[in-house]
Amino acid sequence: MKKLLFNPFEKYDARPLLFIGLLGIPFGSLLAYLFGAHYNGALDMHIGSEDTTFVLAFTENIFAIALLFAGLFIYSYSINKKTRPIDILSTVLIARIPLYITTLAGVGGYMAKIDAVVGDDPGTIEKMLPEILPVLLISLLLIPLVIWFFALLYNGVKTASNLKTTKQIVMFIVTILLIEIVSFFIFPLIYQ
Amino acid sequence: MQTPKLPIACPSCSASLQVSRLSCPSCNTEVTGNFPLPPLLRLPADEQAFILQFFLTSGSLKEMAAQMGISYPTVRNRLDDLIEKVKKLTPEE
Repeated sequence: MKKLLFNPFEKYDARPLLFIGLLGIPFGSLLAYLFGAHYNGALDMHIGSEDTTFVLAFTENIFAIALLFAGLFIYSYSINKKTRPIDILSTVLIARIPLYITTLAGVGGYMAKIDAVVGDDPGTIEKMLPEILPVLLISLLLIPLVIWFFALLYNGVKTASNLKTTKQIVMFIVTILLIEIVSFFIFPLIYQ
Repeated sequence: MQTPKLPIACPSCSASLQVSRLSCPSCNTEVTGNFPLPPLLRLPADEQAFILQFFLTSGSLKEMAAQMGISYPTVRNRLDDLIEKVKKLTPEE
């Protein structure tokens, strides 16, 4: 079960994983629309927005997938020329599923309300501690989902490219950070 | 009775074993000497079975993946690792 959740790529062929991952795109976009979330970065999910539409969430999702796929495929191909694009694409699509689930933290707009009230004034946090406590608990529950997201990304790339050495692992982390930095420049294009 | 497994490493110091005596089961002729094991025989039984399966599927990794119930890249990675291992075991000419 642990292997199925964290590394389905070792056992299952890329095609069924790709199919499930493709189904996840509209599903994840719908969740973002329903719970006021944004996928405004290659690795990001932010709650607390009232202007999210299904089309916007879908576009953000596609941009994030394209960036992750491009970056991780370039990296994987550089360490193993036998890497197949379909394996990297299915990795990215499956890894995003936990990210879609994190949007559930926006149920009832609770987090958005707290964010709006607290704003940039840290003094408000102390006064509103009883209200903020559930938000902190929700945030703690989100941590395993974020870990799951990164574990799937790593295990998928590891299986697709046979990465092994410490140097390759460090380069994988650097690639992920580079993809995130590039997304800071690419994503504003969506909102123009 | 189970077929005894060919030991490939010394149980005492783990170094590679060599063949020092061969015998004919029909006429009991014995040959002694110092014969190194060929690279493929120096692999563990599961890796030898993997290579045999690769041969029997005419080198189709897709077919092997289906037979073994694992994904294509997992089979390819095992094969790549095995190629590296056999290369190290094969003396350069």
